[in-house]
Amino acid sequence: MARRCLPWLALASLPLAAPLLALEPPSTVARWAAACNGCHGPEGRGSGAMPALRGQSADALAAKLQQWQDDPAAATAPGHVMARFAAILEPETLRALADHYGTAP
Amino acid sequence: MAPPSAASSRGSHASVLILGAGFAGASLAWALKRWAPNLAVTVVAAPERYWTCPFSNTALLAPTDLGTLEVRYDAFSGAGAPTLIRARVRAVEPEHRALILEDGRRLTGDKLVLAPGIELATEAIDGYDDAAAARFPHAWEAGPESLRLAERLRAVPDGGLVVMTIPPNPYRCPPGPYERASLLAWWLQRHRPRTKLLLLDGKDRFTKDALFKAAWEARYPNLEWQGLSNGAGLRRVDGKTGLIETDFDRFSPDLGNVIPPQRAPALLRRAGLDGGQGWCPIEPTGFESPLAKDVHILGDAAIANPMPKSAFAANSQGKACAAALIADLAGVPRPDPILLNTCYSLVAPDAGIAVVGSYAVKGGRLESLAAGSGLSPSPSALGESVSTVRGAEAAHARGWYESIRVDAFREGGSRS
Ligand SMILES: Cc1cc2nc3c(=O)[nH]c(=O)nc-3n(C[C@H](O)[C@H](O)[C@H](O)COP(=O)(O)OP(=O)(O)OC[C@H]3O[C@@H](n4cnc5c(N)ncnc54)[C@H](O)[C@@H]3O)c2cc1C
Ligand code: HEC
Repeated sequence: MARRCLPWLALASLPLAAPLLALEPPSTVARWAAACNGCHGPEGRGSGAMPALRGQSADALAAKLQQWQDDPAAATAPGHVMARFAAILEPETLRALADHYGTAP
Repeated sequence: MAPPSAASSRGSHASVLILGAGFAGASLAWALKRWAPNLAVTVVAAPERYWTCPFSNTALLAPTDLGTLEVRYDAFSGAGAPTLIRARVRAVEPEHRALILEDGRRLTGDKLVLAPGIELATEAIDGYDDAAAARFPHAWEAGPESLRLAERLRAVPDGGLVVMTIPPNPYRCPPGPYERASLLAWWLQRHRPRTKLLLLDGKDRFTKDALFKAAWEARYPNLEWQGLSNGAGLRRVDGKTGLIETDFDRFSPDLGNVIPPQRAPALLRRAGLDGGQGWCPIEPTGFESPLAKDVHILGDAAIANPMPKSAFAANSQGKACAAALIADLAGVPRPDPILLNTCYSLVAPDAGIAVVGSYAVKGGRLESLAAGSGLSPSPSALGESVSTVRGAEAAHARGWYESIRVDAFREGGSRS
């Protein structure tokens, strides 16, 4: 980022191969959250009947997902969609997503 | 901000060129800008206006709603946005990762991603010509076509006949015809109570068929479905006389909605990217074409089964491909793709059903994860709560639609 402070001419004369900012693939939790936001709205802030995830307590979010994982009978509507997605989350991803959206207790 | 790794220096000035700003192309473009803001991302989309197909069946019931389906692409002119070029692409040169625009311009990228949707294979239907297209509006690309179908519906007399013909697999939006049929039956029941809706299907089984059929049985005595084994396969249409002919029968409906079979657009097939199959094969970790290095194909044009050709799947593929492209350009291994789908369908304006799918790469192929896949419960499993649950899923369908428009196109707060 320091290069941004250089005078324009110096910046323009940088060889093309010089990186301004390196590429870094998104983290696992960032990729999962992007998938969740497709239903739960921008940054998980909710959208119509799709509940907001952001702003709930992280423990409550984790508990809810855990409950769907533990109890296959919870796969009744309308929670059946979530029960399916919860079923394929690794424990560490589940916790990381709860922490990503949730507030500290 | 994470420190740059040695391997990633190569990618910082890299560029990605995308054909198509539908659910796949737009989702990819924004995911790239979010995860790699310095990447040069250019999207080329046809100059015609774009309406979403999702919720276009509902718009048939209230054509004034059609305008709400239009995507305006306002966010693409903001800071940090992908560059959007509204122009028609005339040719693809996979070996040069190049797009040739109709005005003669030639664009290239380090990565080329093709997401142009579908083309209607109308010559597969005997007798299909301009007169047939005008007489039997398909409305399988939303916009003026949807309006035409809605207007023709209103001209159907009471006591008349409406016929829908449904193509064999694969085609855009597997449950779409059955959602449309449900909503047409709902409308007819209220406005043309003695008019019949006949579905002529080019197959015997379809997605969510038990759930759709249970809803039709409970709600729509005016709807009749005939499958391929009933002789319902489409033989011929005649736009001048208005005739629709199947293997066993012929009909002269007051309204015909003929949904033609489909395939990847000619642009891709002419470049050899379909390998002669009509749709384009991909390898599923990054949706790269096995026929052209650094050329990736997303959305309806790709063979991504068991993922369906849906807007949800296109959006999910866009995000998964973004992560793969960044990994490729950074010179690190691609992550395992996260690929999900949920197709919500309305069986009435206030009743929804859903099919859910989760996918993983196994042995180089895309497979459904059994634990992450399933359907809305049947009416018998739900008992008395059926209308509550179907009502909740109709509300979720609308919530999803609002979310996905913001997610794919970064539309502003006006809709929320
Ligand atoms: C009636 C109906 C209802 C549906 N309902 C749902 C639903 O509820 N949920 C769901 O998930 N899916 C639904 N779908 C399916 C969904 O619409 C498609 O799967 C989705 O649009 C595919 O996205 P795509 O990006 O592959 O293609 P498209 O959305 O078709 O986008 C294609 C893009 O490519 C551009 N393009 C094409 N050719 C050229 C060219 N030569 N030059 C320049 N640009 C070009 C176009 O301008 C456009 O920007 C429905 C479909 C229909 C027909
Ligand atoms: C297909 C759309 C869809 C996707 C994708 C989705 N969800 Fe959901 N989610 C829902 C619906 C619908 C509900 C409400 C379920 C109910 O009412 O029983 C919900 C509810 C929840 C709840 C409970 C919230 C509450 O206040 O009770 C949590 C937690 C949750 N989702 C987390 C996630 C996470 C994490 C992901 C990504 C792995 C995700 N969801 C992806 C549709 C979705």
